[in-house]
Amino acid sequence: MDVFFEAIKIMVQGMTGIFLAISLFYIIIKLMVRIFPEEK
Amino acid sequence: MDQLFYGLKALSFSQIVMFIIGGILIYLAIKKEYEPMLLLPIGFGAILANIPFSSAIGEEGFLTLLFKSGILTELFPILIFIAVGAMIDFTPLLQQPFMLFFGAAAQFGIFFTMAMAALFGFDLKEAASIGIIGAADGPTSIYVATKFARHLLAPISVAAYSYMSLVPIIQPPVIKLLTTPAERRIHMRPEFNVKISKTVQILFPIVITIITGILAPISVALVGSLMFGNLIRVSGVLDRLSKAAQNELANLVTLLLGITIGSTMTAEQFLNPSTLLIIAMGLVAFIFDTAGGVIFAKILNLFLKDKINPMVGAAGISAFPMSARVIQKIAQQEDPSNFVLMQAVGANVAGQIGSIIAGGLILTLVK
Repeated sequence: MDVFFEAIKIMVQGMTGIFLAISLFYIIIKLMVRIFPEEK
Repeated sequence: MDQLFYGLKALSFSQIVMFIIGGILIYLAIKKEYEPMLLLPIGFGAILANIPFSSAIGEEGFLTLLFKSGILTELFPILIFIAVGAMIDFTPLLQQPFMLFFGAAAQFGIFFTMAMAALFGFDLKEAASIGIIGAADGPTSIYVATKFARHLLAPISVAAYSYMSLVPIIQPPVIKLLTTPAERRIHMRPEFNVKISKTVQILFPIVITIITGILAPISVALVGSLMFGNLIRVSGVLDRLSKAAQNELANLVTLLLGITIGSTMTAEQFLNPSTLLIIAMGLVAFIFDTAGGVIFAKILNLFLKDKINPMVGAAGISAFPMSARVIQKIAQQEDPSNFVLMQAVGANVAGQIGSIIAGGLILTLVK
């Protein structure tokens, strides 16, 4: 059961980590699109 | 006379079973066209590896040499990532970056399956390698399994590639179970009037590599090679290299990767109860990936004014572009005037990024 609880802990950390990284990418993309808009 | 039949005399029942398994993989590749570029070489590699006294494997066998130089060094998956990066067009994602979040949610199956595998008695590293089947991304699965559980590499690779090809069969029932017809008919507002400048397209792979690398240094090889391939594509000055990566490099490495993975399917390693368990859990991973994406979209809909078609969440898995096509097909079955393909493609591309981040995090978190 120790391995299972360790896996659950990694699940929480992993999903949190993915969402944090993705949130960061989201902000970066939004910023880049604003700073370097397509020239008309 | 004995020398003529020494191979036949050494042939065991389990090796014959492996010939049949190899034959089934070749059949699926040719007749059903399930990931033929991988399943056919894997199937034939399995046959080569199970012929008694096979000179293809063993200390000096060419497949052993390929395994040592291409898989154990992680070179093949990395080269495949360069090729995949050159094939990906991130524009739909850059136009609608919100889709990134589905690429995160649909990685849930990885961690859920990892926990399940731990319950079934696998140790943490084995469980992580089994869970990563849910990345729906062959090279990531191979990369993580090579680092954590080499002895499980064959069943994990076979499960990963088989289920990727079965996405059109696995996803629809899960989606239909979790959504109502009204939800499946939701039209999404297109956001494709946003033009993405060349500068953003070039900066994207560079910035993502640096940030991901700083957050999870162990994932630099994975992310870096994918983004390097993409940078070649978007740079606009390396057309020849981009095409070479998309065609020659991809084809050559896929060819060698498949047959090398197949060569690890020896009867003694493959024919055991854990193989069946791994293949069953691979299916669980894909089901919970799909469920994770759909349920996440449904939760978002509780707060959003412009509702999201929750099926788009299911496209957050990395199986590109199959998953996006599946979503569009279901959407049109419900309402022929509904087009969610581009949103689904955005989520699908996000899934490729999400799966690599998941792989990097698994490598970082599992000790």
